[in-house]
Amino acid sequence: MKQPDIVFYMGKGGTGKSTVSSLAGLAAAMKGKKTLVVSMDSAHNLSDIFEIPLGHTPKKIVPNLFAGEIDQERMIQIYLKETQRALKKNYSYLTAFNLEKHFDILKFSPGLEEHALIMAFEQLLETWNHLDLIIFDMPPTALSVKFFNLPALSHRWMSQLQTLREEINRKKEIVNRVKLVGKTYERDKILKKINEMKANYQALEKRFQDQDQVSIKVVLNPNPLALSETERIYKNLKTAGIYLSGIIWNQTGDTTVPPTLPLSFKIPSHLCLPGTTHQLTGIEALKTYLNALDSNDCARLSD
Amino acid sequence: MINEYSESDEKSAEKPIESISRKIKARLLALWETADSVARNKAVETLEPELEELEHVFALLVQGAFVGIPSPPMQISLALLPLMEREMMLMMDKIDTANEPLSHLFSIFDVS
Repeated sequence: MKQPDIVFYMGKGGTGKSTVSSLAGLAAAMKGKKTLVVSMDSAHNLSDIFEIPLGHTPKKIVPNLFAGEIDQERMIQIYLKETQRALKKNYSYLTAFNLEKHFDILKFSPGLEEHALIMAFEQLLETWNHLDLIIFDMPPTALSVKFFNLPALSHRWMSQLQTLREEINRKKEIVNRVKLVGKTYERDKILKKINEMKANYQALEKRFQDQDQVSIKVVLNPNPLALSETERIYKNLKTAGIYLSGIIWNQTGDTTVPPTLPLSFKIPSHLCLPGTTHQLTGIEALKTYLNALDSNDCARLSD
Repeated sequence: MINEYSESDEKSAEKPIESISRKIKARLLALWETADSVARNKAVETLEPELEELEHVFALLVQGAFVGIPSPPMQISLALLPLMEREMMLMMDKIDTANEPLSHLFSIFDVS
């Protein structure tokens, strides 16, 4: 089965990522593509833009278009509860460690927010893999960059842990051969888990790096602050082998010519979206805006 | 005069008893204080090394990166935690022996 196309819209806060995501989703749905738009930003705006209350489970907005808002805290709670369940199942001396006390604090641990987004991303791909397009409205730059870097970072960690664990097992095997002659060495569950996690992070890392599977577009306004932030996004993602697919200039005056680009890198695609004096909330207002766009630009918006 | 004689006799008869009981009381009190002090020192003797070790563990957890013990991202620690009961027990045992590294080493090499 063909996997859905995946598009991420990221950028500085307030540049119009949610509005552009909504417009892109609606444009694709109007062209007949089965589309899902998901907000990954805990300060959700999709409900306000579509003027329809949205929750963690996506719902239908118009024919071919679904939308949802990820509940990060709920993802973290579910994850920690599953870990506690696994602990209770596997540990004989759980009460000796008093670990349950620590789980209340663990939900605030650095790194869990972006892990919650990764879990949400994987679950959505699994559940909505029958669609043609999934659009992710990303949180502001800092968390988005951590999200994209997490698989590469975790992959490196798992490789190191795998090396160390294999060394431990080699030495254990020597001891066991000497002490327990004739007995076979028990398979290491920890090494098995490490190998599984490493393969998963490696696959995710490759997916983010593959521009045929994933498009990452930056939404920015034509001002110096947004430009500097785009430079930083480009450099940060490049260290993980991830490249931007396009730039959306939002709220520009003249849409025929992109603003002057003092950027130090080349981006394959640029799209200019004009500003509007009308509030872009509600399906009808979004449709009116799309109908006023050049047909080429409208088509590119949904690519 | 007879009465005076008997009162003074009574007074002088009481003095040794009182004095003995006072001495016994004082000695008992001194004994108690000594025993109390010894017991308190004994209790602290056991607690102090454990406290020191707990402070070491705390310092390692918080500042371990500066002595070569970096921490993995939390989701890696949590994913492996349910499979690491034995390692957790080892760490807890280490708290007891880590304050006597030399004696631990001697026991490994069977040096008596």
